[in-house]
Amino acid sequence: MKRKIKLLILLPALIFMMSCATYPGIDSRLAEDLVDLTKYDVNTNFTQFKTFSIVDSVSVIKNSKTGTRILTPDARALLNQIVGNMQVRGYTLVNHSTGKPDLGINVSVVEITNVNYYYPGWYWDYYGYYDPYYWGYPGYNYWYPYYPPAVTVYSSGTVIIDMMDLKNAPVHNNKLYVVWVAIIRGLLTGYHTTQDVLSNVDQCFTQTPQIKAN
Amino acid sequence: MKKIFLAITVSLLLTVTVQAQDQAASGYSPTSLYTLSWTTSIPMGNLNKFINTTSPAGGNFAGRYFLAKGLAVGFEFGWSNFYKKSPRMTFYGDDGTAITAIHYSYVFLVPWKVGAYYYFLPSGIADPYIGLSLGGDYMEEHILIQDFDIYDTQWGFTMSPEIGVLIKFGRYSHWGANVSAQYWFNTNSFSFTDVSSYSTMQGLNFNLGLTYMLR
Repeated sequence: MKRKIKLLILLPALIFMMSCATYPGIDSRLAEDLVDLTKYDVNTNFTQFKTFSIVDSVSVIKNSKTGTRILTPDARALLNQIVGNMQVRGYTLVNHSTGKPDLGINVSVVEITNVNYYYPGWYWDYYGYYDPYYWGYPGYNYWYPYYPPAVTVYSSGTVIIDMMDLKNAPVHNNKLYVVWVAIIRGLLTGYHTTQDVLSNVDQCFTQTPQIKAN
Repeated sequence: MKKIFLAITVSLLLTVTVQAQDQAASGYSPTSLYTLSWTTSIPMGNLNKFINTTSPAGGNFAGRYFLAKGLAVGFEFGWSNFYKKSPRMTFYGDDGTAITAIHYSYVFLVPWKVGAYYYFLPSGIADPYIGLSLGGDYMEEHILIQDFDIYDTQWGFTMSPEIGVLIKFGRYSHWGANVSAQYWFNTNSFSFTDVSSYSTMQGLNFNLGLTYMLR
């Protein structure tokens, strides 16, 4: 009788457990993949640009205002990968101050954990991020000419590449329009190598064929 | 998955055999019964287009009350979790957005129904039945990418014909097993921007349950 009662309790418990099995949790989903999210301004014709420049180090966005800039071998590899992709698309790398680039590229790594952001360009005034001053527009702002990608949780480590239209800044009241943003997510899980990040940089360009000089 | 399917099919066939052998061995006719089942669900139609993998992650709780010999009415609520992992691919939006990722499609279904049933051999050891139930279907559809969760929820109308068999563990036992198959459809519809839209879902549920009967 006791055995029968045990069985009658065990069976429903088993049924319940079997019936609740579902998809993997956030942690394992974060670990298995880097996500590449890009958005370009559909009103911008990228063939009007011929030259570009890129920041000379990677901005690190951290909790509080303790951000910094780094030029470690990994950071340098990241910058070089972006430069290589731009050159393949027909753009010429020039000096940011003397070369009058048509496009400027900011590169950041977000190391903030467990913080949600709901407004665009939230990291633009963080310590470590390059001010428009760097591109020759002191006192002016960056600006999205479209609604930016709805990335709201930066808990997993993120690379952000902002590409600015410097050529038309005077037309845009000296606002630096971010005509392309690329976001690579999932870096801080500890499962991804620098090579993974670099191949995801390639993917960001691959999924934006509109970026081409000719 | 095929094994589960096979096991359920074999159980159904076996019970038909048991029923044929036991027709003479009558016991009592229950006045009401309650069944907790484990549900395996095969997505069909538009649900199959969204997630084409069979779900073993479902359950069902049903109560039935006999009005006259063999004729019963009852309630049931259930739940099913469907999910599918899709390989890394790129989605393009018409607003300049592109996203490359592994993603999971996930559907959570909770039907709440009332129904009418006819039991052919209420006092038999094995009692085959047919039924029809209808009600509302709560449905969630998710696309999960890392910690992104793009989802939609809604209610729709649902209806499902059912065949099954109730097998008493003994001629006078309060306990029994219930094996049934339900075809269902609902009027739920959903769409994910830039992916696809889906309307009216169908599926086939196999329930394997434990039943408690009252005399």
